[in-house]
Amino acid sequence: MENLIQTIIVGLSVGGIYGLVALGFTIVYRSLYVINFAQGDVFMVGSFLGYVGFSLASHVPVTMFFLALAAAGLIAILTVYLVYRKIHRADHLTFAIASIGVGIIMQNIVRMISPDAKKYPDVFGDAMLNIKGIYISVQYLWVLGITIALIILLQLFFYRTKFGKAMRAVSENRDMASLLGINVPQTVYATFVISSTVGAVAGILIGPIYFFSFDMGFMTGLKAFSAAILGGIMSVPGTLVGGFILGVTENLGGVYVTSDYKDAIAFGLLIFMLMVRPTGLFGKKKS
Amino acid sequence: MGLKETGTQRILWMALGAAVILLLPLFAGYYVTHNLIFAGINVIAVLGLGLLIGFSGQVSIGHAAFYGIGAYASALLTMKGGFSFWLSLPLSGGIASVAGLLLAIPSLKVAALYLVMTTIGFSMIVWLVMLQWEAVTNGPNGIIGIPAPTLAGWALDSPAKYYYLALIMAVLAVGLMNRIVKSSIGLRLMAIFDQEEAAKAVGVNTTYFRVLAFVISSFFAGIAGSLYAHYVTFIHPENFDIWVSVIFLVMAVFGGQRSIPGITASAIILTFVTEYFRVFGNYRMIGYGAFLAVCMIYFPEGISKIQLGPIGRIFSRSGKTA
Repeated sequence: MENLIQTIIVGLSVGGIYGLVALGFTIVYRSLYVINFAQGDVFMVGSFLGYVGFSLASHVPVTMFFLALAAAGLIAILTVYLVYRKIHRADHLTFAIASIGVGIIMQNIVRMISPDAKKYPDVFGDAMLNIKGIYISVQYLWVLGITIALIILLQLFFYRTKFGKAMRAVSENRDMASLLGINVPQTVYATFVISSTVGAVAGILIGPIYFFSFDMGFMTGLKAFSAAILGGIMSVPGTLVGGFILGVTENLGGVYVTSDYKDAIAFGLLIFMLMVRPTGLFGKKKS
Repeated sequence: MGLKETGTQRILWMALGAAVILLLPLFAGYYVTHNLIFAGINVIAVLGLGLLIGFSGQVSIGHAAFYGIGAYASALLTMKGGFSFWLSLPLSGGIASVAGLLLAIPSLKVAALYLVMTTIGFSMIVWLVMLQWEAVTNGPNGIIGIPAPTLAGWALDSPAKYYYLALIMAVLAVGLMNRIVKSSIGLRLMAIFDQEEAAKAVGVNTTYFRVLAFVISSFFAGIAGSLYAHYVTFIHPENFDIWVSVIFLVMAVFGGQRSIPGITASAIILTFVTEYFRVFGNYRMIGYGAFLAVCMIYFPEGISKIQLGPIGRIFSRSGKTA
């Protein structure tokens, strides 16, 4: 029983990471109707920036955390300026290929700087909590807490602030929003800055749990994409639930069935769920 | 523009092209020939994917699975089943298309991005089976010593010899795909993609044709996989991971949708781009990524829209809808 709860909590925090990376897909998709396949590498770059920050000044982790996020935001602005602003109106497959290209560039730049896997400094500490025989590393609780806090912030941003509402207006009807005086190009930048920053948060959070390596983005990106799809790719909470489901099934399958087929179990379940609900768990039926 | 004149010109260009292609291994050297074989194999797999994406609107990031199934099936059929290559080649295409059928039928209700996720999941599962089912696939060590095909006692065991096999198969694949695309199958697929309700109204069985596109597409991937296995003679799961699916997707989209010449050219160009960017050393993959992004910015509809002049006219305007 204790073991089960431990597994679920670890699964939830890993799922929270998937959910955060997946939010990057959701945020971009629901405002521009394209999939940013560089999102996995954005996550990796975020993790790398966090690693650099914490290594430079481990005594001020909070400052470094925000500096790393700012750097990730700047990189996002650069990618929009160089690539995305020119093609976000193109066919979604064209955008997909260009973003795969951007992801490859990011991955290989980091690879040149840091070819080996790196162990993160223990910014969350390595304490273990013992709650009635259930051992949980505080790292996982940090991950879960920050994930949930971030989701709440994002929901508040999209539904309560003027800028968030403007972004939603652009996703509803770009031309109408433009007529009403909303600065559409600015929201394109904002979309990628937010999605990248969220991805970077995930990258920094996962650092102390696993190692950092330049190729960590690809698989996480695919899993996050799957989580976003499972959640219906339009809703922020749905995406997070998708991430949780993926993280928990993966961990339960790994512990209780067979670790060899951990991912196969998770993906098998995802495929099954899509067969039952072909537009995701929280997706609206297409008209 | 007299029709006759361009006709003769076209024949001349075609003859010249054919001569160059046929004689290439004689002067191209080992490395180029080697890459040309991969280009040919990729053309076959990517044509299948192009049919699925461009004509039936079903995007797959899982084609490495069918490619891998073809490769493993062919290796096992020849090594454990005692089949000849010439029999296991079509059989492995068949086995891959059965896998395509198994994925397509339950995915029928799943559309667009949701289907993409299903194909990623499928690819992941197939890859894990290759990795873990050691009794059959030999796990991460892979299968070594896959025999080269023999033709009348003559083993196609060098790039120069295998080149002709890959060439013939690629040409057959292009020809076959041209036929498929122009046939009633291609027209019905496009009708379903462009106007599903209208297609249904005139009596097109949308379900049947969607599944058929998947089956044909995975058949092509399976054939390509078999050709790959018997050329490299050593396969392991890494050859068929999702990254390979992404590369196939890039090749298929890069060529431009619904353009057989475009897809063919794109598979060849991108095979060579990945190889020849090696001169950039560590910057190679950065160059590749930039190449993709820049091409998509300037040719968002794929390279088939680039005017190539006389070379472009070699190809007919097959399968292209304005």
